[in-house]
Amino acid sequence: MALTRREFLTLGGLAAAAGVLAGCVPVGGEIGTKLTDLPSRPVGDDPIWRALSRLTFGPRLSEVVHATAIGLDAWIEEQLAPDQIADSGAEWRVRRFDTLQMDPSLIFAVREEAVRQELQQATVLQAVYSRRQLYEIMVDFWSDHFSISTRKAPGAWLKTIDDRAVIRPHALGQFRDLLWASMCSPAMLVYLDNQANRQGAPNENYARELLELHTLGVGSGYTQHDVQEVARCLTGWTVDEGLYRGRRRFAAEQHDDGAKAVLGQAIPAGEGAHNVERLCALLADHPATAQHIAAKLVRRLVADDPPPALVSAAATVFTQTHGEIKAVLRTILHSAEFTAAPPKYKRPFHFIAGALRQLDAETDSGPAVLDLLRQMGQPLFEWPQPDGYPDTNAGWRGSLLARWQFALRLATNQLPGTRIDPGALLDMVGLAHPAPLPDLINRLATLLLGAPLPPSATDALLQLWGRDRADDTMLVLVTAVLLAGPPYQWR
Amino acid sequence: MTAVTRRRFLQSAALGLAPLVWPRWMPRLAFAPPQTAPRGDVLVCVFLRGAADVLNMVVPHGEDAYYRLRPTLAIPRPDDYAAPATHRTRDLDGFFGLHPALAPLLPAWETQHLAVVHACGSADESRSHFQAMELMERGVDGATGPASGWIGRHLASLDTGNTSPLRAIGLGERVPRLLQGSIPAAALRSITDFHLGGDSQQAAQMQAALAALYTPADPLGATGAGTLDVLHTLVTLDPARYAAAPGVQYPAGDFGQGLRQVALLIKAEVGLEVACLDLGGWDTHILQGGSEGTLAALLADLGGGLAAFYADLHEHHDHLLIVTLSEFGRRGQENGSLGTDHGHGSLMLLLGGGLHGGQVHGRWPGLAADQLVGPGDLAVTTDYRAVLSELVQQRLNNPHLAEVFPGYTPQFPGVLLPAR
Repeated sequence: MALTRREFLTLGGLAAAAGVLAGCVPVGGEIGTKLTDLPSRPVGDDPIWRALSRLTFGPRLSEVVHATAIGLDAWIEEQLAPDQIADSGAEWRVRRFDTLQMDPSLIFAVREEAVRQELQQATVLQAVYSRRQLYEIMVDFWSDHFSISTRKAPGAWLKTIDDRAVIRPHALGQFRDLLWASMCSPAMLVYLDNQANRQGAPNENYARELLELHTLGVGSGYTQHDVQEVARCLTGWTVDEGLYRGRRRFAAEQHDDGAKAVLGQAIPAGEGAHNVERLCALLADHPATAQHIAAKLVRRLVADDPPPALVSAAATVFTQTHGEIKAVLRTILHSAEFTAAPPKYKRPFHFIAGALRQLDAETDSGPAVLDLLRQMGQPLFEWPQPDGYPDTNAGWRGSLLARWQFALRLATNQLPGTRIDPGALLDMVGLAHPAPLPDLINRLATLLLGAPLPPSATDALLQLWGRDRADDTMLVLVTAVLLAGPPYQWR
Repeated sequence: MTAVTRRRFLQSAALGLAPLVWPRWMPRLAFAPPQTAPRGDVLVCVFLRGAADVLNMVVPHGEDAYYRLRPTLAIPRPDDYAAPATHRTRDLDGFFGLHPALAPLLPAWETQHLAVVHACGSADESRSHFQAMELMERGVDGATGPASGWIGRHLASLDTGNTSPLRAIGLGERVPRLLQGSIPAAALRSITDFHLGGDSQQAAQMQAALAALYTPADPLGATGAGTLDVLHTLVTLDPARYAAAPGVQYPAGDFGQGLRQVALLIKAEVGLEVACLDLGGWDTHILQGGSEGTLAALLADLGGGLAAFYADLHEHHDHLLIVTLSEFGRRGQENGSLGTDHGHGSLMLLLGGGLHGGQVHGRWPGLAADQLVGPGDLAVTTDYRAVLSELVQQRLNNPHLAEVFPGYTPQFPGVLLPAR
């Protein structure tokens, strides 16, 4: 690709900065980054834009510039090592949420609604401000895979601990560690009724979802007998009430300690609490689990109908690496299928976080934002079924009104606790008042969609508005319309 | 084509818009075409929160034990000429009668549009408001089972091809548990919230731009156009100036005004399939009153509201069904504070054109000491889900009962008529 001299200098300078100062790029903000730092490109087909629109919650301009400078492969490697990315911007913003660090002895003293809201608020803030975007995307993915509703008591308190102890430590780690952490999670045990699973009075809920949702996947060949045997392995694992409320406990007298057979593997009698360790290894290493996890990752990152060849390649790597999530991601992200991926409808969380990121908004992600997220159908950690929020286009056929309301309120600074700076926005897209309206539309479209609008759409808007110069009112209106229009609903 | 869509169509045509051409990465047809299944009745579900005293609501005046259990709170017999006429039970069938404050519902009883299922409710014996309400909204037996609501599961398991943003609404601050599930439902504090926000000029400019961008060829075109249509419709419908049918007067207060908004939405044909309303305050432990007083005021609000709503929608009776739920009933014996404590058996009122009305359904378990359960409560002889299963299948055209009430096998009590 032939670059102009100015582009070359800009990119060269950024690459050098990235090399020397990796981890020291200004946190969150867009200071100094301008749209004109990017080479122009054909409409919407830039592979870096397409990749970043899936591997981040809506790419900030600085991220696009940085990825363009160092190349997509290098950017992906950077993102796969989140510990190496300084993230103080996100860290200081969530530090004030005390419940995130509380253990069960403290957290149950806090009002249910406050605990639920702090986790939601912190999760949105991290999606918006964290520079470890791929990590946050994976946190979102595993939060759905091991979904727990905070609306089923005592999920509101225990999910906060699950997020901290299960999802976040292992989101880019080994699947077996993640599964084991989840199997030890009081939130999961209670959410799927395992406290009611006792010798002689089994409750199969957790056993069934463990096989169907968390590991092997529905239709992968396990039988009702396997479900019953898994339930027997899980008997006795309960969660304390009273003084030690919210702690996992093994009640040996409730455990069915007889011999069992799961998926054709004998589990000898007398193993007691060790049954579940054997069960975890058996499920994590099962070939059907590799297929199931690979297919779900490909569905999230590539297409609603996962291309079978890619699923198979990813599953092979999963098996070879004993479930190393980073290795599986590399296989998916470096595939031709990923490059050619069809668009996916943005889930509400992605839509909201992306708009806040791409417009460089300052937000507390407080009730005003959370309320609209709820109206869009994705109040975080409240999906009532254990299968997680839908991950296909068809699952989100609902109202657009809340998205439009969010677009207009954000653009007009009518969301309490959230602000965008129109002057800085205009500067970021390299314009000054009175800017020609077609330029404004196209620059803002490039910022939000990665490319100008097609001329027919720009013409339609110009005809409708009957003016050719932009002021702040038009800046607000164009921003709102672009966020609310059809293209921005896709990633 | 409605007037609104025609107006939008003309607006676009006048602008001479060329078909939009989006970048090639944009989807062409990303959503599966909706399956078309016929819609059933519009369901209006009223939850009486706090456990309504059903023995004083639909009074078993033919039962001597009732008068022994309620020496001060009992509602006088229809022929108790010692009591003022306005204090007496309004007889229904010689054994049961309505509390006088529910008298506005008598016309519907006489036209056989009102049915009662007495001694109906949940098997849950916790007598905890929170737990019992949650179980009834989820439609499950115990802590286990799905966390979603039974109406939410009904909506998710029946694709009616309805893309309206107002397919399911809860009047109030948040979407009630009943409606939770995979289909987004809207919490509507007021119809006046259903707008884009901003000042009216900004909103109008934005709507015009979105009408130009959401074209029929777009995969989101139908949803976008549907949302714009509702916005246009509701702009023209000012709830403050909504005129109900002649002679209809909605009670002041949230419940009556909520019903009035639902009536407006039904008449405006904006795609409403389910509306949920709450009426609270039924936890009458102290001084609940008899023919007059606290409970009577609540019943007047309930009866007056439902009667106004039903009269207002007289042209819609064949496709309208109102049902009331309350998490449990109250103790048979009145307590020492001239109130009643938490009990067990409850009841359901059903109002609509598609039911066996003018009847009190359900086996009456009686109020004699050996007929009461637990600490002296009305027994439950009909599971509320039996009625709701029949309602979902017969009136809402949804045969997927195993998804709506998982783990429950209903025996239809014969309250609802099959939809024509």
